[in-house]
Amino acid sequence: MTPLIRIRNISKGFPGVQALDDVSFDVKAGKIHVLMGENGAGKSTLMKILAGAYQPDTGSLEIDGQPAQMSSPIRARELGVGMIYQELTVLDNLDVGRNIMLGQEPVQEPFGRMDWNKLYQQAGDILTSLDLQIDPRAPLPSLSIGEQQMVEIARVTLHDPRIMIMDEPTSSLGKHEEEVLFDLVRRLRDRGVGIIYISHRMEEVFMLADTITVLRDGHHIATQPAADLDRAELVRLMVGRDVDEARQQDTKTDRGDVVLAVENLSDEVQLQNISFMLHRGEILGLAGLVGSGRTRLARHLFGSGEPFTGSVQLDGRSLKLTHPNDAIQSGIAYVPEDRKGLGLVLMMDVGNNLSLASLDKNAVAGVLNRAGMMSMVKSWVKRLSIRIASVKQTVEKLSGGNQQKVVLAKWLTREPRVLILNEPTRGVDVGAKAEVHALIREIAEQGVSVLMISSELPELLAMSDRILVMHEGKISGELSSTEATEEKVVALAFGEGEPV
Amino acid sequence: MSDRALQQPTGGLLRYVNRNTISEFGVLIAIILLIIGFSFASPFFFTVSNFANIGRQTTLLAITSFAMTFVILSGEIDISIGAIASLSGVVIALLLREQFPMLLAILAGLTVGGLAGLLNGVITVKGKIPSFIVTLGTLSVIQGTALAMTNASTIVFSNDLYRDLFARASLFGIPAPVIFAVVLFFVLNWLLTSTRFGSNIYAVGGGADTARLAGIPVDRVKILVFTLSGVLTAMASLVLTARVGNGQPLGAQGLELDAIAAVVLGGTSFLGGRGALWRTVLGALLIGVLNNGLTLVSIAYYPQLLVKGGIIILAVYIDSLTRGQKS
Amino acid sequence: MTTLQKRAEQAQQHPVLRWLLNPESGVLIGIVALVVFFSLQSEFFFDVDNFLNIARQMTMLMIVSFGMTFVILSGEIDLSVGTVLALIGIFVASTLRRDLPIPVALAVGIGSGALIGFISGFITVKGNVPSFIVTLGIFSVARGAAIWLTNSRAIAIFNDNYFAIFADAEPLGIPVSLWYMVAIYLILIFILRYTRFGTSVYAVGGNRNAAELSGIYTDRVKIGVFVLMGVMVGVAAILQTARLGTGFVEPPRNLELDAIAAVVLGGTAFTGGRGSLSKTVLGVVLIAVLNNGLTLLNVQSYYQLIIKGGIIVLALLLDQWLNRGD
Repeated sequence: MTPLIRIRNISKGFPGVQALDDVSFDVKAGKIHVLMGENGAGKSTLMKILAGAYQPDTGSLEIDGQPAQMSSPIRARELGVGMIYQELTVLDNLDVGRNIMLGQEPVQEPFGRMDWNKLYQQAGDILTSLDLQIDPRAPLPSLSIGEQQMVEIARVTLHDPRIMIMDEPTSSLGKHEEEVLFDLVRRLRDRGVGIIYISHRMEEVFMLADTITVLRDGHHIATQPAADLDRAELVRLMVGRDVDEARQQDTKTDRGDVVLAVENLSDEVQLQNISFMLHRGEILGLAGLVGSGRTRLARHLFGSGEPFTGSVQLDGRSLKLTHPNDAIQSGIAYVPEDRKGLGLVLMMDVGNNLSLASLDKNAVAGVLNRAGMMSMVKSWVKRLSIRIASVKQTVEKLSGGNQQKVVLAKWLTREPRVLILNEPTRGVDVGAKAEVHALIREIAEQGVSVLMISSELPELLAMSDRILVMHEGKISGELSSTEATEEKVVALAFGEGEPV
Repeated sequence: MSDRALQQPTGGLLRYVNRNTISEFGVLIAIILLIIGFSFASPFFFTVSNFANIGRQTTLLAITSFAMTFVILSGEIDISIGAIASLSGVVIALLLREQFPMLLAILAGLTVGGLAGLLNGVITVKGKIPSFIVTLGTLSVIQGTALAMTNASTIVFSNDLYRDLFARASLFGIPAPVIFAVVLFFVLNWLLTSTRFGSNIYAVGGGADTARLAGIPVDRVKILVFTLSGVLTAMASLVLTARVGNGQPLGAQGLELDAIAAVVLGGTSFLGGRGALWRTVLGALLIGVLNNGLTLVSIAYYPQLLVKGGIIILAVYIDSLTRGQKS
Repeated sequence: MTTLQKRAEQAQQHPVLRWLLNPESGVLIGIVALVVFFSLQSEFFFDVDNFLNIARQMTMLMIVSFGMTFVILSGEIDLSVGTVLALIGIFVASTLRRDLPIPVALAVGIGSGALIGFISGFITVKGNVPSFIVTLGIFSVARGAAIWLTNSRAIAIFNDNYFAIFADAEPLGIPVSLWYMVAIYLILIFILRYTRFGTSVYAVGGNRNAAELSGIYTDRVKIGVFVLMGVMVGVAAILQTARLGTGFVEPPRNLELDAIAAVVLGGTAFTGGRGSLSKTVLGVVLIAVLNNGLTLLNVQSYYQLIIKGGIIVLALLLDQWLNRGD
């Protein structure tokens, strides 16, 4: 039997990364095909290629044995691919029916008159066929997030997709809504739709999956019936690296004094009762899947998130964190995950970027000591061997590694007590990566406490003295460097209480 | 299900209700209160002839506000509206003065308005430049063109048919321009609520990226909206030139401010995607009644400007509060 | 569009072309070309007195454009400068009419400017409202207030000291307003280059999130920028009332347009974060030379409107084409 969709030798590279490398597998009609893998395994890239948002460098797609060119999202839709993004894309100024029928409104000629009755009737029919009890005339803001998600799915089913791609559709749903969604997904499957489902939850994977494909580092690792796999095996497939290659030789086990103590930190959106301690000179790794709440936690600790409850103490002193400056003045520094969007002012030069967080230290009554700043900047450029022609050069054109060093230097100028790093080596080439790693170790040895978020497990294992793992807004486990293995971290990250 | 929707504690619907009460009933109540107040304050206010007056005075604002409503709903702004009205008014006046047929003059005026709008739309959309700064530049160009065409003088024409048709005539005591505006309202309201074009405007204003992914031709919709806005503005200039019997190159200066005030006051969100044409009617009426009443009770004309500016700021502020802070 | 971009990129490779396409050199060339053109066309143009005249005429625009540069650098815009300037002029004139001492008048002028700027900034930032719409409202409020307060009558000033200090004196043979202009330029250059505030303005305009995450209170910076704009308008109003001898209700025509044109023309990005005061100086000089020359050639003011509007739009398109067409 011809598979519904055949993915053949797809490769796709981005500057600095090979996101997909010769990936091939088939998806069958009437099956739920779960796509799994760690952060950066290539799931999103593959999905976007299927949905026409990216074009593969090499390789091809076939639908029902016919070559299919997904040249644009609209073309992909015409070829029968429906896509549910993780973020809602419904328009909250329109009602349910109009959202479902967006861009496909029934009209009568002349003048392209809207046929409202038909529109709401068609929308209602789609909702009914999906067994959803939502009034097509209800304004969107009156629906819960889960119901809005259903509307989004209804909109995609309007085009009668043969293949439906769902990217972590349950990530913002409550328990009950989740079950409604699962029912819906199964109903779609039973109608013969092929479903590619991306999930970060082990539990739901085994509830839903007929087939599971595992990707790792852009490679296709395995495609097997779900019944043939157990959790331990799945984790091994996802990890499966030669461990220990970059393992840190001498991991400190004797910890210094507690510097940062976080207790019962919760917020209204995601985080629940986060408690942990960070010691002097320690590198504490924070693992977890994207969306597990790591960045949210980091932002709270830096005073740049929404309000939260619970206490954050630095050296036994309670901190009031309402603005990044509060955190900075207390000695906390934060290297955000999005270097270009959050870390740098791209159109400013190296000198100004590097000194941006320490303007107060270089100013008397608001007047800057430019000469002092310049020598400070130059000394840091030298110390971190940032390769630039001049400090007057804009940071925009620097390589990722040099940009990241500028961001790091910006915070080191403040001589922080606590350094929070969020994906410190993302988009950084191998050589610069080793330099950044060495730098982080050096900083820690000087007594700075480092909280390091990374989606790259080998990096986290190699660097950390201790690893916390987050899953859906909670800390799901803590591992010392001696007991931490990729399997254990991945299991905890996917919400497996018992490490394998 | 709709019952459940009503019970959603998320505050979604509650916010919706608040918005409605503030902007729908609020404006209506304000108009009624003003009418009652002015009726007591001036014996000349509550009369048929004065209401006809208010209607006549408000049509110009109402029609330009219709134009602005379309632009704002699509998520853009056009501050060259006053200049466009002046320019097409001048073109019409010049042609009428030279005894060209009325129909040709009208057609020319509307074409000029449409072209100016098209220019705004194309530069905004294709140049990917914010519309407020684009239309600030074109405002200057259009205004200068109107002045250059007339050598900065007023163009007086005499064409009784034209002036009757768009200003002086009345049917059952209803002034012709009011009838014109009402007809226009129904046509435009139909366009906005009953055609795919109107539906697309809401989608584009609500989220251009989503609309684009859904296959809606976002760029074309925006350019069309700007063009329509130009044509409507030219229609407003028909009423203006007919009323005064001439075309003044600076005759409609500042009209954009009144139009924005009427639209936002009516409760159409300046962020796009939310609002309706009837809201704009209420907003324009409120300003019209206020202007008329203040003049009748002999409060100087000029605090009105002050009030108008304050109203814009307040309305916009309330709009942003009721929508909640965006992250 | 893509072929255009490619061509732009190729042009960037060539050093001479790159220099020519650099907005700053473009403006400089434009100024020189205009000077040559007007000198050939009019016997009165190339003349020391006329140059002093140009300088005197551009003082107000220059000072307002300095303020506008800060506002645009921070990623905002202020459309209210014209009517606010007129309103402040009336405040200043009324203060002097009451025989209050000059320093009081100055305090009133600068203080009211700062206050109005604060209001614009506060509503923009705290209300999360686009600044163009807020300042459009302020534009109307200021105009209404000015007419209301004066009944549209100009308020004449009878204070010779005031005229001497702010308009008529000519230290070293150079009009005093030029001295003020230069002093303000130096002060603002200092603020922009050598203070935390100045650096923060660039950072906020360039990337508000990154600035916030570097510990900068971005809201305060934006409000501060509007206050500075207000102060500049206040200073311009003081010089203007001294030059005219009255507080006028009529705002200087198209002041906001000229100021925005000067800033954008100089090469400061209207999206914020990139630009400088010296660029604005070039932009203002170009517009001033243009105004003066066109007037000498008896070109009607309305052609100037067309030309200036066209220049704004072209400068925007050029900026977009060169700097953001990645």
